[in-house]
Amino acid sequence: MAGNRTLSQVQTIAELAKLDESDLAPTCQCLYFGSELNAADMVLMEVENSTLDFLEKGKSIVIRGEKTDSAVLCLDNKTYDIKDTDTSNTLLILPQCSTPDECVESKRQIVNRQVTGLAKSYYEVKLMRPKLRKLRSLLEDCPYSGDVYEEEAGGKRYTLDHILDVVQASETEIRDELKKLRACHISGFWRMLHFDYECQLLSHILSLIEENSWNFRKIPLGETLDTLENLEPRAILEHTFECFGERLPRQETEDDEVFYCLDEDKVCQMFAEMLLRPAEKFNLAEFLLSWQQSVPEGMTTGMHQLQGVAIIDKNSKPEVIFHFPFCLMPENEVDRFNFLFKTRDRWTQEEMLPYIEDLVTEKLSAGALLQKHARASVGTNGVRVYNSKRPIK
Amino acid sequence: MVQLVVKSASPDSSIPEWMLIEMQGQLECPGDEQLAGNFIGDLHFNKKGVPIMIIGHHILFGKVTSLDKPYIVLLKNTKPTPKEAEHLNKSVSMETDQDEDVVTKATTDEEEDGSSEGIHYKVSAAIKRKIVFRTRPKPIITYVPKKGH
Repeated sequence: MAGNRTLSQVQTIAELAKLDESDLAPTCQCLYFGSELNAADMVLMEVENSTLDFLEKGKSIVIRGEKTDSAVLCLDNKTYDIKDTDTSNTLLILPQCSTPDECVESKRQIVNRQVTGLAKSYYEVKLMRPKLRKLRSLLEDCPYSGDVYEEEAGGKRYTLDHILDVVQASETEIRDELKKLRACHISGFWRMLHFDYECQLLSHILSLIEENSWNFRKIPLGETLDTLENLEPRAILEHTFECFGERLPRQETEDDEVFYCLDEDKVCQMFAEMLLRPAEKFNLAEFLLSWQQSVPEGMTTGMHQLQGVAIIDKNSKPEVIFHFPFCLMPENEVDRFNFLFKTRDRWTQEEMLPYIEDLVTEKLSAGALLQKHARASVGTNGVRVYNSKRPIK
Repeated sequence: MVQLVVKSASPDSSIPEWMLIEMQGQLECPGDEQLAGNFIGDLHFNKKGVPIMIIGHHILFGKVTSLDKPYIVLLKNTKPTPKEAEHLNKSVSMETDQDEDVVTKATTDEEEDGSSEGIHYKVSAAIKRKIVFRTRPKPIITYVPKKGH
């Protein structure tokens, strides 16, 4: 049946349609549905040009998610939300079809073209924030507390492949998040360290620094590992340096010795958490004093180190501080603001920023976010504060 | 579902460009006949480059446009298809030894794929332009010419 159309049939119908033959390009393309047309097997997906370039370089893209998730599309470092879009139009897919500039043949002729796909919908993709909250909850199932506790440690352990199976984010985004979680690669599995164990590791290192009167900005890695290896595995100690410090660039004069500089802010933040975690609320003045006394010599505590870790209640007398870690935040924007306003009625922009910063995108600034979810007012003390726009659930 | 890896269908990862024709409403065959294998219509271009489509007794005028964002055409497979592709290229009279060749090739391809079971998608083409017919089709006023004598 396909391809039985003749030039004269084409000409007859064109005439009936009152088309002037001299005004038509000589080639007419006769369209047929392919004999193996199966709409369900062919899917259209609208992508960014960069995604197409990526594929043309031979790289793969991945559609990810569990049965209950809505699917996402991942490149190596980006995540897109996939949405099925219906159209009232019919979309015909043709592997070959000429456009006017290609119909240059001077002889009047017909060319048969196959329509191999028929679509009434297509997939649209939109760049999104990766859903990484799940990663923390997965890894919290079985935190690492040192080799001695490994046998009795229950819970599930995850390799990177497992993680990629269930967390809806690109590989780069997942690796960045693992770093933020201070997760460590132990015998093939990605593990978060138990908070108490992290404290223990850090205190081993800090005691050694004190014993040797080293400068915390220049700690010899080799010597530290050699001294402490009876207490903790070398790899874990080195991981601790990676989490709380920075490897110094190698200098010409020192052969192979590697040095680390501890990050003052990160170490002080850790000490603040050690104090705040067990307490529900802490008298602010007392806290600030004990905090400064607890940190290693030479380090100075500062309020900026408490961002995303704790908040201060200035309305109570005396002023109090309490542990309010960023990791408690719901992932979803609306839930996030609801949670924040449930914790406290009024926030200054400065107080709120550490808890909403990750929601800020190129298109949505922090100001716009606040405008969307909060109402501003100026308090009696002249400070601008924000309260919820919606009733709090 | 866990992870569906999607990559170019061709080994050298080139992605051919295909064309999309978009029109209002939907195409139906008289009665309950399947669309597959049936004739749709004639696509002309006039000297100004305007696409003109005649479907049944309807005429449509459209235009060729470039897409802001390209489409990729994903082909859903439950099994790899190199065998089918080979068959299509071969002539009708296929010799036995050739046939064996085909089977061996298909199995190696399957192994290379690593996932011969379950759904997987391949990018078979990209669409960067489309011919779109936005206006409603106009009827062609005609009489049915008597055939034969």
